[in-house]
Amino acid sequence: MSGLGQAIGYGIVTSAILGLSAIAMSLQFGVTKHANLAHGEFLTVAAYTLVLVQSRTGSLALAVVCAVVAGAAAAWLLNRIVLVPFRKVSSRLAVMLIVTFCAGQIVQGALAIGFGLNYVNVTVSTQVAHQVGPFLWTSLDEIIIAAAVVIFAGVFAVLYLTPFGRSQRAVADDIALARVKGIRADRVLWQTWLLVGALAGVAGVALAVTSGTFNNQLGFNYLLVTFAAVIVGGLGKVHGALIGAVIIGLVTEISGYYLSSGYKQVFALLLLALALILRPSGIFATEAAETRA
Amino acid sequence: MIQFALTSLIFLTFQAILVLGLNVQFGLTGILNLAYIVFYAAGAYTAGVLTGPPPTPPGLTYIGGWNLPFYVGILGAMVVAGLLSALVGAVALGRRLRGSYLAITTLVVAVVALQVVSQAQGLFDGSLGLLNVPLPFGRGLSSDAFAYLYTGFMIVVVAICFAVSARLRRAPFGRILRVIREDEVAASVFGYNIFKYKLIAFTFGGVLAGLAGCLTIFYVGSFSPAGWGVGETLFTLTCVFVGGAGSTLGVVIGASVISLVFVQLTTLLPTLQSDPSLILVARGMLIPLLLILVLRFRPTGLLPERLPRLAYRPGAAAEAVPEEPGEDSSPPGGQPQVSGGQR
Repeated sequence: MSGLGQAIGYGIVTSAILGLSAIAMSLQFGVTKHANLAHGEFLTVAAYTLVLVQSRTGSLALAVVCAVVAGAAAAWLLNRIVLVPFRKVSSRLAVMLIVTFCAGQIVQGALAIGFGLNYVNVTVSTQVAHQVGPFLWTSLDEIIIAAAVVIFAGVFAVLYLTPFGRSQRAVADDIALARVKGIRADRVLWQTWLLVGALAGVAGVALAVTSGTFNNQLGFNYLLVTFAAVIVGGLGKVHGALIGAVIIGLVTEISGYYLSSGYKQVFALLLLALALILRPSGIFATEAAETRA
Repeated sequence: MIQFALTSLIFLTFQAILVLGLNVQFGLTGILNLAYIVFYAAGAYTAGVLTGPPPTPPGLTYIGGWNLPFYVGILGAMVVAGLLSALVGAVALGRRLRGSYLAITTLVVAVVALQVVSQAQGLFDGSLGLLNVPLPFGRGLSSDAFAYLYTGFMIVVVAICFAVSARLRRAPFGRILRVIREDEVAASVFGYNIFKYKLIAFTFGGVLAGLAGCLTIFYVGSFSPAGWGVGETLFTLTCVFVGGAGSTLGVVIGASVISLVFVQLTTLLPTLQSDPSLILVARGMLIPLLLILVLRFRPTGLLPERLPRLAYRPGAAAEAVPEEPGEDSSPPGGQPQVSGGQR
């Protein structure tokens, strides 16, 4: 039983990290209406920035801040340099998908040239796991969970309590109608990308410090798991992404407890496959969303 | 030197077949299949285990190894790749998986297939891949004679693939594919079973990919997961866009330009760098960069697809009528009774 409790504990940590990445992707899909296949690279950029700044300055706190800023900058740049020019010449979905995929591959290559293809290590002070109720967490895990909860609350507060959030939801709902109503949609778009990049940056940092070592494939490998969470929850629905992340996080860790831990990712992708076949608009799909997707 | 030229030409023919298949899927029908290279791999592995020698367990482990003649390998590769793409297509091309969902689904297929084949030692010898697949056309040939013979053989195969693709594109069937690409709703209003047409196009592309893979392994003699990363699909997609998506001759020109000019130019890079593995990385960066630039500044490619005039011309009606879909494959929704102007 204690083993299962531990697995659920790990599942909560996994869900917290996955939730950050999934909420970011969901926010982005809501306003752009196309998947961003370079999403994983926001995480990778943040993770490498973390390692770089930490090795130069020795301060983990400063490194985390820089990493989140780098994630936000990467997202902003992707929108500004790549997507905005394309939005003007082509509205074809396939083109936008290919372009984001290419951008991701270019970033992966650039990071490999800058940092090498080998794994790099993140140095965090040694963590001793301790018992918290039925769960076995390190203080790092606790910080990640607490930070994620605060950030989730913050994102929902921004979305539902601020003028930006209202505009953002309006643009996500119907960009043409939002424009008619006087909302500056382009501004909302780049602001959303900044938020998306920052959230993905936090996820990248959390992923890097919990795994301790990574290479330029960190984010790309996480892309499919993020898709799994977002699609299980329903593409473009922010609360759905969070619940999808919790489901995927718990299922992967608990399956890892009962089976070999090597099957974790397989289970995540199995859930994704099931979701895609049975209910592609997610478990919270409404009839309207079904026909629109 | 002549060996080098022949080798370049042979690799170009592999790429040409790949590009023709992807052009039917993406260029004609508009299906973005990020798992395209998986069907190439399926063809290569199938041909390898059908024609190769039995495995020697401690070092090499794979299924099959039946020592069958090479034409069985070609047939088997096309059948397996076709069945696999029909299976993937049946799941991925359903009415509910459009746009982003389709891209995500195919990306999942590509990543999972690569992981499974790399990990499963007993299937195709894991990340090491198949080795020692025998060369076709008998054992006694000198390497020069083999190169000439294989070049001739490949040119014939490419010519056949090209003729079939070009015919398919001009046929009523190809026209329906283009209608689906441009406007699925319009195509379904005319009563066409979109899923069926997409599935046939998808499978046709998969069969060509399998053929390319099988002919690759016959020439190279080995095949491993390093040869079919997601980046290879992007490479083929770049050939399609550089040449002109939808144009049969265009995409072959695109494949030639990319395979001969672009790849040869990037082999000049090594002198600048010290780490050889980074050269591949640099090449892997330049292809997507080129693709983005092409999509941005010349999305129609070098040889844009030529479409029939849209306007109704009285003179054109006569020649257009015999082209009307003669096949009775459309569902009971009704064959559109439009003369000439339907295009």
